Order: sequence, then C-alpha cells, then structure tokens
Amino acid sequence: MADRTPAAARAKRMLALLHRLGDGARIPLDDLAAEFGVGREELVRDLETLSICGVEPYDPLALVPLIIEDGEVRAFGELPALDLPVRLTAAEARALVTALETCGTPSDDPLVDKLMRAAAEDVSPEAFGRLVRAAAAPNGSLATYETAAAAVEAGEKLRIDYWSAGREGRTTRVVRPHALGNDRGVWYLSAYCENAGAERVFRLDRVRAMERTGETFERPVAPAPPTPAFTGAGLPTAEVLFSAEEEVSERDWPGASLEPQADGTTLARIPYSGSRWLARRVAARLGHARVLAPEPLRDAVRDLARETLGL
Amino acid sequence: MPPKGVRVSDALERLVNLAMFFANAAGPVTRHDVRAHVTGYPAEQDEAAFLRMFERDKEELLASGIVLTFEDIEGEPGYRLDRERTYGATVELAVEETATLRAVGTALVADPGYPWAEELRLALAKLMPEPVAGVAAGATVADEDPAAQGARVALLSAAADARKTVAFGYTTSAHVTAERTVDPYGLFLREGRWYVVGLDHGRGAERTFTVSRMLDLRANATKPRSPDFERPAAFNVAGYERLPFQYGDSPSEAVLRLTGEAAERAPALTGGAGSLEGEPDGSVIWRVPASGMRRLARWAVENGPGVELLEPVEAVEALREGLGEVVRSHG
Repeated sequence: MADRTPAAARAKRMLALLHRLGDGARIPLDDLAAEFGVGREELVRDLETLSICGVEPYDPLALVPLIIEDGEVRAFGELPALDLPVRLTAAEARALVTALETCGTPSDDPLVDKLMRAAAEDVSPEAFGRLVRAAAAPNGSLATYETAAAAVEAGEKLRIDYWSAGREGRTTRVVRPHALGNDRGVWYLSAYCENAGAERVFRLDRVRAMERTGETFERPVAPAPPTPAFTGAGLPTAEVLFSAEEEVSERDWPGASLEPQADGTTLARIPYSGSRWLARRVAARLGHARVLAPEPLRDAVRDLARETLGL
Repeated sequence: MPPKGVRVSDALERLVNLAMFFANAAGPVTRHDVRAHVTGYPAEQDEAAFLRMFERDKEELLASGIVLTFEDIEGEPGYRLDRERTYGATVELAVEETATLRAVGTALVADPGYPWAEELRLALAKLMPEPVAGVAAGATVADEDPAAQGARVALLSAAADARKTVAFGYTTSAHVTAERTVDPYGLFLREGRWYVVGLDHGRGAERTFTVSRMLDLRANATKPRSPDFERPAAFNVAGYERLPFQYGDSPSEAVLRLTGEAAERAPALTGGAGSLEGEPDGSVIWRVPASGMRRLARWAVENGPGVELLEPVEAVEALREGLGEVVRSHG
C-alpha cells in the first residue's frame, strides 16, 4: 500500500525524532504515533526505514540503531550522526510562538525567549507578531495557565480565586482539575469543584489567583477536554423576544433555539446558568431585546438597567 | 522497473541518508561525493535527473532545519553542514513550562481550525525529550467550519510568506458575493474567526476579510519563487484588529472608567486597543477610538460591571436612552 504522506513530510518527522534515540532510549509506539498524528502502521514503516539509514559503509555499526519490540521503539547504540536536536525552522518557531500566544504569552515573554534559543538564528517572534496574531491581548496570564497545566498532569488540587460572570462576584474554591480546553480563543479548565460538589468549567482569564495545594486526587481515567463553557444541558431556559432590527444567531447565543416570527422579530429560548449574565446581555441590547419569561429574570434585567443608570 | 533483486530505496531513506552524510562528513563534499556515497540515488539515473533530485533534496533538508554552506572545491560546488545553524541549544524547561507546552501542543495539533498543526508537532518533537501524548487538552479556536478555516489560513499564511497574490469569491455581510484579488499581508484570530488583511486590487486599498466567508481560495501559482508584491515596511496586523464599536468612519475618542473586576482584567478586556491609565483610586481610564456610538454603549453594558462610559456625549446619551427603554419594557 503506498504511503499517503509525502516522503518529505515523513523525513521531517524522522529527523525531528532522531535526537531522542540515544543509547537505551525506549519510546512507546502509541505515544509517538499520537505525537505525530499518524497511524501506528505508517509510523512503524517509517521507523523500519529509519533503521536502515545511516552512513557508509551502511553496516550494523553505521546504521540508526533501533528496533521495534513490544510496542516500543528501542535504541541499542549510538547514532552514527545527527545525535543533537535540530533547530526549529522559522515555520516551526512561528507555530510555537502563535500557540503560546493563545494562552497569554506575549512574544517577549521569557519562556518564548528561552524556546527561541532552539530556533534558527534569524527567527524573530516580534516579527511574527506583526504578521500573525492568535490572541488580541494577554488572554489571562501565562502563570495561571502553567499552574493549571501542571496541576492537571500531576492530579493535584488547586485553590482558585475566581470571578463568576453569572453571579458577578468572586469566590475562593478548591478544585480537582481534569483538563484544559480552548473555545474560540478562550482557555477553560474543567474541574470538580469541592465547594459546589459538582463539575464546573472555569475561564482561565477570570481566575484572579491560583495556587497548587500539594494535595493529589485520583484523576478520571479519560477526562474529556472542556466543551464550550456554556451548554444548555440541565439549565433553566428564558424566553426572550428580539426586535426585527436585531441580528440574532445561534453563534451569539449558544444552546438557544430561535424562532423567527411573522412580524420580523425573533423569539429565542435561551438556556442560562447565571441570571445576572443573561440580564446583562439582554440589557446591552438597549431595548432591542425583552425578556418574556421567567418573571424574576425580567426583574433582574430591569434592576440591572436601573443600577447602571444610577437610579 | 528495477532489475529483479535490486532494492528500490524509499525517498525517506534517501533524505535521511543524505542528512546523515552531511552531518558525518569531516569537510565539504561535492555532488559527486553524494552520488557515490549516499544510498538512495538510483544508479541508472542520468546526471541531469540526479542533479534535479539532489537540488530538491537539499531544499527538503533545509525545510527540516538542516542548513548547508557552500564553498568552491577546485571549481566544483562543495557543501558542508553548518553545525552552528543546524544544531539548536538544548532547552531546560521547568515542570510547569513543560506542562504548558504539552497542554497547548496537544490541544492545538488536534484542532482543524489551527492552521499550523504539523509545524507545531515538529517543533515539539525537536524540543521535548519525550513524546507529547496523553494530555487532557483540546481546542476549537475557530468555529464556523474549523477545517475549512484552518485549510484556508494555511494557504493564506503560505501566500503571505511567499508574497503571492490570492484570489477568492467573497460574500459580504450584506450577502453580496464577488471575486476578489488580494495581496495578503497578515492574519489574525478573533473570537473564533480568522481574518486576513491585505491590499484589495479591485479597491486599491487595504481591506480585512473574514476567512469563513471565502470560497474557492487560490494562490497565484505562476513563478512561485518570485514575489508578486511587497508588504508595506511598517505593516503590523495588530493595527487591524478592531473591537465591535471601532468599525466605521470618523472615529472619535471614547473615554471609559474601569473599576473593580473590569479594572483588574483591563488588558484582556480592552484587547490591547487604545491606552490605559491607572488612577490613584485603583480605577483605570481607557481612551480608545470609537466609530459606532450605539455599539460602544452596548459594549459598555455587556462587558460590565465596572465599565462606565464617560465620553463622547453621543454614546452616553445612546446608553441612557437605551437603558431607559429597557427599564420601561421590563417594568
């Protein structure tokens, strides 16, 4: 069966991998396949090809010393050449800088500086940032992200000082973090909240303080990364009527059902977890949206509008 | 068809052998040295075909980070591995830095809306001592057909790098579709959508295009090594990212006071637009150009609490009128 991946792409992977194949190295095949995003079969074929690569005289002492055994790649000798990591190309460096930008790392951050020592000399994160931007501004802080990522891997509880948009208030909680996820540029942490006694999803840019507690917990076997923070499952629903002039889309109201009316208005049924959050969004329509039900939410919208007016 | 019993080399084998040959050579080598000592170049290949293959292979090695220098060896081109420019420093990462790279890497390489997954995979493979796998992280940086957006951005990014003009069908917010020819200067991601900024040939001016509204995107394939345009030297894509109230003509300066929570998250909230000035009482004054007064008023309410609109007076009036209507309709 012909490989679908071009040889050049496969060569890039193998050349990137070589520095890990020092004498005695053992790497699970499944981990490598996941890292490169390829099927195990393709990976094994390429590793078998790699094992017959080397330098003259192309005898066993001059070839890449690897075997595949028991689901692992095992290195049993020294590499004949290219035993040091190859520098990141400009394209690879930019991919890395852009990826880190999404979690609050500006191009002049010390972490970026450190990583660029492994990149081609003419690479400039500042120049990248002038041409490609994956985040408009620090979206939360790198320190928060780093702490969360480390705690997720270690299965360690976190104490967080969190500002809730639904309640428009701050709370301190102890959480058991499961996974990190990004939805439309915003990073979230899914965790079991010990204060609430339930699963919760936290926006990292609303975390005011985060510290590792040093206390570990048993992690779920296969935690799912957080889905978009707002889904309708199990939530109360509000009925909101939007004026004919107002553009309404499911993208702006996740989980909502929208019913265009004969007069051009739109009746929306919107799930919500915090009344304050929805009240603010309705009030922000400045008269082009009106809550029909439930009554307490109508009161909340009116009260918020009065409060903002200083009445 | 090769003779029976003759093994046909995989191109992968040839490329890796070539890289190792250069890395192992004590001094400069010629093309004839390569042909004689690197397994993978077909013996029956004529000289012209070999040279073409060798030239392509050198480019592929460069694209992998293997850098060669050139020197003259008695009138013949010689090649030497540039070790300084090929081998990178080993980077020592703290535990939390490693966890960050593993999480953000795992999330983005699996996201079809992130256009540089393959490059990110390779970067992490070169940096990390162990495979990045088994991390609980995911991403959907772009909604509205993430795979299509990701593929288009990859093409636009390559075109912008090579300075090649692109063409595409484009549907505006007014639902009008027309063909556009654009020199792509830069790209940005905002709230789940990718955007490209470039010179619109038809309008003779810079425009910003929403990638999800493009159809049949293609880059100019003629003379691939010759740029079609020059990017303005001072171009910075950050200058094209706009908040919802910044679209339109004749901007005036808006002034808002941010307090409490809004003041604490001012950089993220303001998206880098305008200027922020801390006040002695802990509040932050934000001055920012604004074109849509009603959109500004809406933005101030939606992003509260702690966002007080001070100027211009038209926006403050729009806000008071609008909220007055809210009170009346919810009375």
